[in-house]
Amino acid sequence: MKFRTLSYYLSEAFKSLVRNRLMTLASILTVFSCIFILSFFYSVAMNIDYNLARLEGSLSLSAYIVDEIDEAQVLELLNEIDAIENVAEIEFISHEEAFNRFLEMFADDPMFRLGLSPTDLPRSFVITLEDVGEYASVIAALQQMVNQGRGLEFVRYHQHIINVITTLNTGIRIVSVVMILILIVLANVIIVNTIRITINSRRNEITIMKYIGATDWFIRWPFIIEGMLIGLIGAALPVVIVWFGYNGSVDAIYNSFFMIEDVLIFRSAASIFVVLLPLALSIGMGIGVYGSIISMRKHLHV
Amino acid sequence: MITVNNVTKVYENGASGLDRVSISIKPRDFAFIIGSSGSGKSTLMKLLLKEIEPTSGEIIINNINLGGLAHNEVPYFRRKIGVVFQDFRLLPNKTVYENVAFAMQVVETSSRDIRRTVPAILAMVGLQRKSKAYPNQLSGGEQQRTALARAIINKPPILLADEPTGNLDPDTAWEIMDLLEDINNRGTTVVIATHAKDIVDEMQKRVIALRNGQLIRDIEKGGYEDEV
Ligand SMILES: Nc1ncnc2c1ncn2[C@@H]1O[C@H](COP(=O)(O)OP(=O)(O)OP(=O)(O)O)[C@@H](O)[C@H]1O
Ligand SMILES: [Mg+2]
Repeated sequence: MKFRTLSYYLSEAFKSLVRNRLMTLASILTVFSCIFILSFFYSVAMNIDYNLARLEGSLSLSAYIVDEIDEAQVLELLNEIDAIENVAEIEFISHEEAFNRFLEMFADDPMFRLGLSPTDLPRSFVITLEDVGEYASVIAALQQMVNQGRGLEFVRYHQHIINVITTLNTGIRIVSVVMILILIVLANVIIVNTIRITINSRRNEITIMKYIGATDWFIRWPFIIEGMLIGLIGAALPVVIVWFGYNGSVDAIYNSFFMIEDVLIFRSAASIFVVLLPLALSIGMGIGVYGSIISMRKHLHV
Repeated sequence: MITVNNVTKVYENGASGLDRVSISIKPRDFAFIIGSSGSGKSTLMKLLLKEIEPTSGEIIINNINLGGLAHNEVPYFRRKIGVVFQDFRLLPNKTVYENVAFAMQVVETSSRDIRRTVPAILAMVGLQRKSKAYPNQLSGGEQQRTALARAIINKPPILLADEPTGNLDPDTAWEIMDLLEDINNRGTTVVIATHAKDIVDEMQKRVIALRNGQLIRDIEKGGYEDEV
């Protein structure tokens, strides 16, 4: 394609974008909403996934031991638990150990340990699983020991939190995908109509172009570029906005919640947008180009 | 060389456009297609441009059989044929210069060639002083000159004109005919569908007469109502 021809296509496309500014604006707005939702939920989902994986990887069960049990019985329990299928490792936490960990955790806040002695903190086993997915059977086995009064007090596991987060995560994804799909359809309808208006305002021109010997593609390209520009503008704007919004929110959250880094680590904007930017631009461009192709198929008979 | 071989055109609604017409037009010919309204003149023009397809028969132009021409080859075929119409068909939002340059843009000519060629063609049709005017600022004759300039700027070997003087007063019509003859003298085959009896009588050129879609007369040099 000659440069001159390319600049002809571009200037024709720009001219009609400006001439139909209202429709252009409506088209860009629908693509904008669609890509905004995509960008927003993609950033959220990436962080949820990342933190879920961290959480799952660090998950261990804690089984607390009643105070009446003596050292020999503790050893007996330890061996028994170690024999449960899918238990990878078991560690015994004594009163002293538990107390030390507690002190460490609240090193900055001496108020917390006022009048606290090691025996106030229960002994426990920390059990690491071979496969986190198989936690249910291990829990069941431990729960049975609790029920039988074998000296275990209760079993704590974070899986229910993970379940809630996972369900939420899936829910968010489904809702956002549905919203994005609806908006894509809406964007398509509006872009098809925008391009239709351009095609109609060019009927004479197209007829003359055909008499002169313009190829079909020479006639089509300005419409395709028009759709492409709508898509690109509609996609680039929300990505930029979400980028700034993301950095701002992460800073704000880190600054306003004490020790949040221990629970939640946000992914860097770069690691999210390196995928999101090309993804959003391709989707935006795809929506725009697809809209003009559909419109040409319906309204432009070359 | 234009060869129309036993061509019949029946429109979708059953109307007969052309009925078993055979014509042969040599390079550099100047031919009038005449006949009353509805006799099939425009139908013949559209067939020559491959705007419509014949129901039967074949059309061969410059050794190209139009029936065998693929859809994507049609534009390249059309570049070898210039065309003007009764209603000029200029783009209202482009100047004279831009309307003519547009024809070169469409066939992807370089801007340098466009800048060089357009003024020369405008001078040839006598519009060098109107190049910045818009079509609605021009007389009918000037609009048709613009259309002619656009039709010949890519140097097609054949020029088709469907009633080019239909909207013009007699004096202006003569100016356009003189221009067409001039174009013909420079080597272009010119085919004109027309009602303009006095012009046809005066010019004594090839006359192809149609009636109800049938060829009724084809004479080398003649007038509007001459017998064979
Ligand atoms: N698109 C069409 N669909 C159906 N019938 C048509 C169509 N175009 C032309 N016809 C018919 O074909 C016949 C020839 O029409 P054509 O336009 O070729 O005549 P013409 O000689 O150009 O007439 P005029 O001098 O009025 O321009 C007419 O009977 C006309 O009604
Ligand atoms: Mg006609």
